[in-house]
Amino acid sequence: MRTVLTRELKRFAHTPRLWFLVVVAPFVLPGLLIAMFVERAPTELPVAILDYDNSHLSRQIIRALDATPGIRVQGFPADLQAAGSLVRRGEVFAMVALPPELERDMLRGEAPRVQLYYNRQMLTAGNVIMREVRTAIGTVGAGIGLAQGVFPPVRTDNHPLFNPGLDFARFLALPLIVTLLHILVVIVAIDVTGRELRESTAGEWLRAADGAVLRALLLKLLPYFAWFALAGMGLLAFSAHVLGLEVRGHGGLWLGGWVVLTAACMGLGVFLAGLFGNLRMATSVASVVISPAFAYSGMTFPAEAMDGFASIWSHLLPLGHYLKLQTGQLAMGSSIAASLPHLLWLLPFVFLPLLVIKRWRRLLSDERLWGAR
Amino acid sequence: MGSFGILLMELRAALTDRGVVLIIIGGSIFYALFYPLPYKAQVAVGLPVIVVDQDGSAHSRDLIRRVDAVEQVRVIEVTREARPAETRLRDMQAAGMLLIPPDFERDILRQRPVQVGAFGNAAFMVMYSQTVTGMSNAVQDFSGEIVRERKLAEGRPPFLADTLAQPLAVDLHELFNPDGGYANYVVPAVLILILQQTFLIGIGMMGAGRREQGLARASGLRELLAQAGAYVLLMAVLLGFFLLVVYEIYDFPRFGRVADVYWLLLPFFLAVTFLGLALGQMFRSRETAMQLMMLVSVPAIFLAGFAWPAEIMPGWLVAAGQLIPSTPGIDGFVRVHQMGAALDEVRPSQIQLWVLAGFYLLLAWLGTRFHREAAVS
Repeated sequence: MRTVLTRELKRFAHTPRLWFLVVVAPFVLPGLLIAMFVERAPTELPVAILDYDNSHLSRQIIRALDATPGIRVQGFPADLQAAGSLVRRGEVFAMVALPPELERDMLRGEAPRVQLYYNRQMLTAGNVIMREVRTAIGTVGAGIGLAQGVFPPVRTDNHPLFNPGLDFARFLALPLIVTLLHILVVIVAIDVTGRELRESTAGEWLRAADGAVLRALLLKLLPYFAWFALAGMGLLAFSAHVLGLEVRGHGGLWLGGWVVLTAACMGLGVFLAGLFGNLRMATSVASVVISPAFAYSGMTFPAEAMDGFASIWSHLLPLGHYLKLQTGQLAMGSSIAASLPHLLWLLPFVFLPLLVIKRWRRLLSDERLWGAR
Repeated sequence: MGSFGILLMELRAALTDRGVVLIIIGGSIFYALFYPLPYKAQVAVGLPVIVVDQDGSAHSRDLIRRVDAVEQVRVIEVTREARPAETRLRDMQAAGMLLIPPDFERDILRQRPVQVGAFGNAAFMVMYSQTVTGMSNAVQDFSGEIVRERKLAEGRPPFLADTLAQPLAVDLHELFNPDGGYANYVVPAVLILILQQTFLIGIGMMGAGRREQGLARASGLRELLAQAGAYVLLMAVLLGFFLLVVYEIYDFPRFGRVADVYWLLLPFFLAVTFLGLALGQMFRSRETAMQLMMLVSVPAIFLAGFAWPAEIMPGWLVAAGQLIPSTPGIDGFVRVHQMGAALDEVRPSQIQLWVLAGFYLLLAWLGTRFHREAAVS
């Protein structure tokens, strides 16, 4: 038993690539994402104004727009043409046109309409602007309406649950960190097993395990599993802390879930490496499976709105299940019962390699299967 | 050998290497078709919401009908108790909750202002904005109807009612991406990233493979340029596939001229190719390129600044991101092709791409010189 382990540690120590994948990348990549998303400086998205009224009211509206936390008034282009160019150049995200006779119409109760032209290709920015402009104009209108003795009978009071500051960047950072770590675990699991075949050292590996295939695989992966499970838990806890996310549910379930995800990713990696018996091919296929996993996870576009194949694939992949567990336990304080099914779904992935264990036996003992590139 | 001969030889070498073909041709096409699938619906509709109706009146039931009728949400349950509804929200069985307070009807009839609560799960951005927008629209609609009824009862013409319900209103005009589609927003940028990543892997694999087998690699500037021509050609063809086939299948909007897109992206193709050639000289094994690029994709897409305005990121990171060809490549492509910008409106991105192409050419060329000297000594 000791021989497989010591052999693996020696191999690891002499391989710069593994040092990078196992020791450097798990810290550098999450660090990069944290740096990207941690600054919570309010983003003021630039908006251009076309003021055709030039009245007391139009100036009041401009001030109200500038005062919103999400946008800032930048630039007064001469006409719609010039304003459009500012949008296409990316200097502003939207333009607000205040029509002539705005104030007069307003005082006559003719309900004038402010025109908002906004860039919806940049969906996130566009939606923020739409919301802010509607709120600002609505508030100005309601103030004047109230003075005239008119008000809407029923109003909506919005409550953003679990994220009162609508600080979506922070809520995206942690899932992205998990995504990167899970890619790393799969890559490493495939690399350390598949490379033995590629470099024709598989026989030596099997001999070190006294010919027992399962033992060879388990002992080889054990140090990586222990490392990624522990370092991953530390990294997630640290990242959540730095990002200012507090645990509202069960921290143990959240971090314990990561340990299970680590095992599931190793299972997936060893399964693919065994299935293809070729390091390059297994890595290619793993990339197809896990690189787009975040898009399918439902963290951005809701999984409920996916259909057909996308919906099935979204429910099949381990990443989405873990991210739902994490968001539930971390941000929302979900019950254990609600998160448990996600955890259970990860378990079959841990045992995936058993499906190809016979193939692994052949791969490790048949020299003709070695050296494929 | 003539430059064109080298180009053809490189093209042949790349296309007969099974690993490389699988990535640059198979990978590009597969990812381009596979990546947009989850976003195919473009807009999330029918998200489940619970209504907590503490009034239980004819008016509250009318409001509930209106909420159920908007496309963004569907009412899965009507209850009197707020607590169990909140628990279901926590357990992700519902995306949102509408709270209708007691005395809702009485206050409306007495002409007192009433507030209803729209609760959305803000841990998920798209889900939150869709549910809350849907519920607010229904409430606004309902509110307008109340004013209309009041004015009718007072014997005033109903068209004035809209005025009185909303003394000042906003007309929304979407510039580009008219339906606010999620795929329209994400996929064009991702297609450019796919092209970059698959070619960096493929070209890196070619370089590493030659190194492993001890084969000669490009040694001079002319040879380097000729080799690069092969990949630029392939990237141009694949971009054509994206614009023709992928855009057609998923029906993405396009506003720009294809000729402008190609002219803009020519230096992008060059920058990616030279970067790939430079990286290929560093990798010891063919798989390293793949492993590295899988990890780089996630930060690269955010550094491109389209998903999230770059203003929120620290300056040093934004600056570092400018070294990645996809950063100006995505920015320019989205503006020209999705927003119909003229080339002079994306001049900064265009210039940046040429500078990057030159910079990576220099790097790749220095790399070949370094290796040649190493080989000689």
